[in-house]
Amino acid sequence: MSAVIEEEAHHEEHPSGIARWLFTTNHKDIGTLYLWFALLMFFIGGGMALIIRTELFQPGLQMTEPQFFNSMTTMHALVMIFGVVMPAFTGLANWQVPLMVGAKDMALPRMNNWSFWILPFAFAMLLSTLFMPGGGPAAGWTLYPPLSLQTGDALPFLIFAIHLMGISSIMGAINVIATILNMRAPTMTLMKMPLFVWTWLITAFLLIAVMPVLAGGVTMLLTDRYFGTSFFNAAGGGDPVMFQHIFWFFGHPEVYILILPAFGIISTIVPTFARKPLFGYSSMVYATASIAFLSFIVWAHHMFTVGMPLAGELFFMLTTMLIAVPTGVKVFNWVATMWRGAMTFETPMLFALGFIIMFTIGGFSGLMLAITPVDFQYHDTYFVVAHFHYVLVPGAIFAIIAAVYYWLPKWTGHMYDEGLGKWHFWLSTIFVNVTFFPMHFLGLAGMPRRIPDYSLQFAGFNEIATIGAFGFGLAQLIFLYLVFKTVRSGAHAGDQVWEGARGLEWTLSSPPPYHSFETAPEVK
Amino acid sequence: MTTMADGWQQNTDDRPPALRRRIRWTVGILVALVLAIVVIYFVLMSR
Amino acid sequence: MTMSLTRRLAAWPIGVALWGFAGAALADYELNMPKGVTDISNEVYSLHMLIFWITVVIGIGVFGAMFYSIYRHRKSKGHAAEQFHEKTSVEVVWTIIPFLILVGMAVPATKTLIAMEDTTESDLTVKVTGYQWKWHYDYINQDIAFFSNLATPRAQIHNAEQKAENYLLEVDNPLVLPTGKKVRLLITAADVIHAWWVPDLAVKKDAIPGFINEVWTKIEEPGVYRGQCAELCGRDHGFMPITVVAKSPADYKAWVKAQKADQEAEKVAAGKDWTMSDLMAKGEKVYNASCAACHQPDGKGIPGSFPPIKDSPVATGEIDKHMDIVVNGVDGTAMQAFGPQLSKVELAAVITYQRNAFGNDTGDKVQPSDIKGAE
Repeated sequence: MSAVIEEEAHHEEHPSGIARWLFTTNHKDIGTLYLWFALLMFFIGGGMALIIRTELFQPGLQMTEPQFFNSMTTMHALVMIFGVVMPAFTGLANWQVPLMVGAKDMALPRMNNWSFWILPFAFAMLLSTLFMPGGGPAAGWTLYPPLSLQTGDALPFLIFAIHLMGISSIMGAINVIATILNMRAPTMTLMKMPLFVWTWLITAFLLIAVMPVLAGGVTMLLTDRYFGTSFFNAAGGGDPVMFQHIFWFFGHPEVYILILPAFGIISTIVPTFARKPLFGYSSMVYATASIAFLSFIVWAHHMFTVGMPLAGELFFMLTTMLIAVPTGVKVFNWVATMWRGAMTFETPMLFALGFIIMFTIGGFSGLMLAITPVDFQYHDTYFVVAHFHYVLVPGAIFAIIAAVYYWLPKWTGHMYDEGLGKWHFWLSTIFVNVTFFPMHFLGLAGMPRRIPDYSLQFAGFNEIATIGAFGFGLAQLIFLYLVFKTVRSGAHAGDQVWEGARGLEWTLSSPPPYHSFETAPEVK
Repeated sequence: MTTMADGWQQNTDDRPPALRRRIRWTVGILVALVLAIVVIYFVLMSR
Repeated sequence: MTMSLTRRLAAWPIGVALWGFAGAALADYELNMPKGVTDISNEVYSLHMLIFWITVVIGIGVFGAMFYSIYRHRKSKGHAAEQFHEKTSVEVVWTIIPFLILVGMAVPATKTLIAMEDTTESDLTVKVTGYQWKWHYDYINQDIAFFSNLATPRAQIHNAEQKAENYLLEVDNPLVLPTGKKVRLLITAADVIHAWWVPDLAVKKDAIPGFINEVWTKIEEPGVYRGQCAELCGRDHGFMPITVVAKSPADYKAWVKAQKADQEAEKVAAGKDWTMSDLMAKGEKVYNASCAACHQPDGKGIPGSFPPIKDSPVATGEIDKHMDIVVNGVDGTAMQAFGPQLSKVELAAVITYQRNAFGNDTGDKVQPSDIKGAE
């Protein structure tokens, strides 16, 4: 991996080789581990997506049995959510939060190591279920019973993997909160923290609140199947819909867990390349907190067709619509940050601007989905698939990619190849739209989700979406190449790297010393 | 071979005791929060 | 530059596309939701368009400002960065105005939702039950009930035959409803959660085992309206469509009469003795509709998943045991109980067929009156 410069003639020694990576308690090393893990899982989850899109290229069953197809959609989501986006954000938190607050490391360095190393075991177990009798889980990542209880031998392994991932996230969240609340540089008050730190602080509280609920829900699936309970079985006095309430009470805050750190990243990158401070810092903090609070009272908008009483439907429609307000405030503040700045358009800025535009498009379809009587037509169709892929791919994923381009020179000491970075951006943007925009039309025209075959009127846009998917997938190989290349070589980056960059991490060398701040820095 | 304990030592050996205490309080409260959520969950599901 | 790169990247899948060109040629490239054939579906469509246009206007505003800024406020144009970073009044404005827009959307949405949830004073009630993987319709108090299965031949799905116009959207027994009458649908399921959805009616409701959901619809125009199951329910979730045939009240009455006549004829058919060739002909039809999905059209099954019928000890052994499996299913396996799903004539025919087709040749004939354990 990257060579680390030792600035001081210190007694400090750090190991090398495999032992270094297995036993590290250093936040930068652990951040690196999370990021490589997420990159690997990105290609695995992406491969599953290409299997799905290949089957959907033409009407008819060409490549997969329907059961295997369902396990692909299930695993694709589980891998992307729990194996890519969450670990990538945690990796970025590990790298950046101590640097940004002026701390030497995270509050709990050993627990940090365990938080990471749980993940490869959990995912090895999850992926191994594809080879078990009955195949991998195929009830969708949402695991609704009774269908999920028809899963074969894979069920207990799936549940155990989810428990492990949850434990990893909870431990990581505790670490983040303890670090941010206790280890800031003495003059850094909460309202002087970079916005990325704020968004991770709030995300960490969301994680602590909802991961235990997911754990409870999947444990109830386990006991219903193996220990004779009837939580979700009407014949035994239970209710399948209760699982949906439990799941989405976790699930809705979860999607904000998947996007709040992205908001923090965009709030870091746009000011740098506009050479202008973030507009409305305190509004941005309050907006993020409002979004987090509101995220707890909207969950049933994922369940509008389940047969809720009218009062419930109205309540969730109104609260869901309300979330558009603080989200809009954030978008307006980013545009106001650009306004009358002196912008340049290096790769991180391109991805950040792409995020703002395409995440907003995802937000518009989200607002349409919030309107309950119309949601009855959108629910469980490709319109929903289009919505969440817009907020997650040119949303969360683009923000992660932007962050990597932005901070990679700091982490490695090398500048990445800007020309290739731009190729990566433009190809990704074009193909992400070719893939997902037609899905809005497919959903409106009546195509349901999670089907391996479809009627003839849907063929045209499905064909286009598949071509887009392959284009997007191939474009990511540019990124893979770039990351490898930059880690090993490239023009020397310097400490400041970006002219407009502000913050404590830029006061350190590129790459930073193994122990970042030996003495607490001053914050103006 | 440097173990995790050594790495942790280097990271934390110059922490003032006040900081150690505050971190322990923070972690204690958060763990209690997680356990409280689990307990509330079980209570609700047992009704 | 980008074009030729795209062309090169697309060369392979385009080659595949040419092979399956027929499918894409029939594609409609439909962009929007249907207006539908009920008052509610038209209201829903209008709401959808209202929200859509509002978001378009907001998008033009926001993206317009962004593109303008990207063009004018760039360093390469010599623009110097101003340093303003706060203005409370502007924050208030762009919080209040979106809030007011939302109120404007919420009012008509609430009105439509309240109308949709009012299932009182209906003229007709039908109970809809979702099964893995078919629908069952039961006209309450009219003694008419039947299963509705996908009618598209498996050969089309597996690309051995050209796909017909209503590929995957056709059924053997559609739900027939009168126009101009308020129809209440009671929706439930027998095994896992399904969802009943017909876009032209703007009706979608989850079918939950052990619970009953209510929806209503009033179809204004006679015609055929097609939908699909809209909740992942297992292997053949994509293969259990819905077809609603809306007839004028007079035609509907005639249909009800014809159903009763068919029931009478069925009773007669169940009472008489059938010839071997009649049983085999009917049995083959039933086999292909109800058994072939798992046991395969050639009777060979799928090793490890579905046992074969060909040379099967069950199909060539004791008739009573064979009948019990077909009528009552096998607990803990995917073999359903077909007693409630098929008539006595169909059961007798399919058992006879299984015992004599695929080279089994037992010579056994099972009459409808022999069927035990079915209604």
